Amino acid sequence: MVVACAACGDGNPSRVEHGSTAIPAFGLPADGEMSGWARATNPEHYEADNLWEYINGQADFFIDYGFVRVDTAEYQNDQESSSVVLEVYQMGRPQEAFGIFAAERTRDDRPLEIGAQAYLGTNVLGFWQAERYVKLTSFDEGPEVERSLISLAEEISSRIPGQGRELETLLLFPEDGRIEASERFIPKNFLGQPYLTNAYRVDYTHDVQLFLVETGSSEEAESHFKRLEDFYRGRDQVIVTLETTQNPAMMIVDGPSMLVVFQLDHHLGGAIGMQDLDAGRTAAAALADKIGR
Amino acid sequence: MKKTGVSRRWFIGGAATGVVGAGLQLSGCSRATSQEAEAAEQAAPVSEISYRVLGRTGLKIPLISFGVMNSDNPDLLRRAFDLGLNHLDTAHLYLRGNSERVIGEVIEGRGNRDSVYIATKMRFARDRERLVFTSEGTAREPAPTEENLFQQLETSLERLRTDYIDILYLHSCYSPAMATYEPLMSALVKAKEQGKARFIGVSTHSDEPNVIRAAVDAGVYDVVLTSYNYLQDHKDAVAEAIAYAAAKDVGVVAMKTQGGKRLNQKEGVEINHQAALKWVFANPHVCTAIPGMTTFDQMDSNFSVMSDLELSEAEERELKLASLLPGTYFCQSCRECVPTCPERVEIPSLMRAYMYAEAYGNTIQAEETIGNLPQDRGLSVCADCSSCQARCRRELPIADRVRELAGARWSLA
Repeated sequence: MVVACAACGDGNPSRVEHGSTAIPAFGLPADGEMSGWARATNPEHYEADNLWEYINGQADFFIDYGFVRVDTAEYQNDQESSSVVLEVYQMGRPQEAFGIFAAERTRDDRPLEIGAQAYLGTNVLGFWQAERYVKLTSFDEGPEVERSLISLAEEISSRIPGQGRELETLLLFPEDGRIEASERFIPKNFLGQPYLTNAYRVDYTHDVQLFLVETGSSEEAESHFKRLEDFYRGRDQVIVTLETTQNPAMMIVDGPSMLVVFQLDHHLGGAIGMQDLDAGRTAAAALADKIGR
Repeated sequence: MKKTGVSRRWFIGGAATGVVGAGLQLSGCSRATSQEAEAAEQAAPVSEISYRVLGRTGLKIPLISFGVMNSDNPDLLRRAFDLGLNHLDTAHLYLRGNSERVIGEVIEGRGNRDSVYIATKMRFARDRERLVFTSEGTAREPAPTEENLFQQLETSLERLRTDYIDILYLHSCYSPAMATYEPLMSALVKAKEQGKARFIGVSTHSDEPNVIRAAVDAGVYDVVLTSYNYLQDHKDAVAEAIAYAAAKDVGVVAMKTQGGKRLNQKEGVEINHQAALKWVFANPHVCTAIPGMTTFDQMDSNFSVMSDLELSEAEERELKLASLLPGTYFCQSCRECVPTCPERVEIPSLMRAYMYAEAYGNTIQAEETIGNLPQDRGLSVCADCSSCQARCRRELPIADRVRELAGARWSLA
């Protein structure tokens, strides 16, 4: 079922609640409002209750990332007779908009500078800006389509209030060996632990992934560190050691999955995904060093 | 044999389905095990896993499978394999393919393709009003052609780093017409003949009873993947269709077993996931369920359901109450009902009062809610009205509930 959308089509923003904040709904450009583009379908919008009808099994994932609502319509290019489906996903926080953007970005995509960050795939362009993740999907492919997608994305970006810029926490990750466009934000259940929320993860060479979890205080970070230690000590085929000769101390988890974890102030950081513990230890130390500066 | 662990009263709910009270090894669940499944079983902590056979496929699958949407934590997949959970469900379109990519990477790294069953789904352009596939594709969805099915399939195989899919579904069929759309059925059969799909099926989460029956009657599908949960107002009809599928040896996989996301988000009440799963498994014709899992705790909790399928009275009561909470079939406060009432009664507030009284047994809160309403838009207006015209888009029985609020049961009027 499509939710009636009287307000979202013509620049008459309604307000939707998300937790304690209210975010203005995005008004999809009306027919004739954008030069060269005609709106070919009536706007639709979906909220958490019926998102399943729009994106099926992905709905729960989006909701976990703070999904509030999505507004969508199809636009037709006057000159090239190509059509583009515009989807504007409204998330609760900029981190969550980035998070869902990054979750949908693939290694084959080309990074672009639209909004805060953008990707361009074969027939799809996505970008995030403020609390919004915008996706434009074309029926066709090719250089002309790419140009159309880019021009439409820039137009939409200009209509979204709030300047987009890279998330500050991601600046804490070292540059050396960092793999471009590999950053992720994971809002909850990081490492499969319900208490690890607001996690950032970046891929590096040698199969290392560095992560950073922001907590509310150093006490909270310390508590999480201890809970992680208890969790891994309770697992089969896992050896947990604490290396206290360095600052900060490192928890080394050796087993089927390798893990290096440290706590520094209100941060919990470390390395995962590697096959070589030394590589993880070195990378985690570099992260701790950069945070400590 | 484990007990099904659910009372007739709650499971049947009035319409006989004929499945409760039966053991776990009934029709559709009694075929011989395949060698690969036996290998997986031997590798797993057998004593804690309950298996059922997926209809004519002969695949022996744990009751708990893994709906893999989230690509955040490959360790969860590894943990699933450690536990012996060997059936993964994903879809071509999930996260632009990243869900399939993570599965492919983990399985390749683990080298266990032969002991894992992968299910994925192909989706095509549809008219959501007329509930049919459209001949033309859209920007988001390709046209329903054999060429496009094979294009999606080849891409999925590449992402999954395999040369075959165990169960290939036609994704999200809204209607019997979609489930039996000949060009796609033929293409799926062809994929099976070529060995690119071992088994084929349809997935559905609307008009499930009719879609399931149509898919079964089509005669080509091995599996149906259907929404099935205690919150469905048509759950008895779904159960009957599931029994129909089982009788024809078509395997049944359940999804949306928790009834959708965030039961009662606003009230902060958590659903009892284990109870919801037990309710599903009380139907012996359901082979397995595919809950999404994002924490080790969730996985362990779901896993433990297999060693205790008994639905306790307390759990049964929880499910019953949960079915009355907001976010399910209770008032969503969309307020679309208000203009349908000539008196513009504050119906959402009255429905909220009903929830307090019925679900929480909190008549004081219900009284307060009613008491805070303006007199000309409150319950007293309803008391003077003999022909309620108010309509709910979710078909809540507004008049019945208002009548209960105003009646002698709680004396709230």
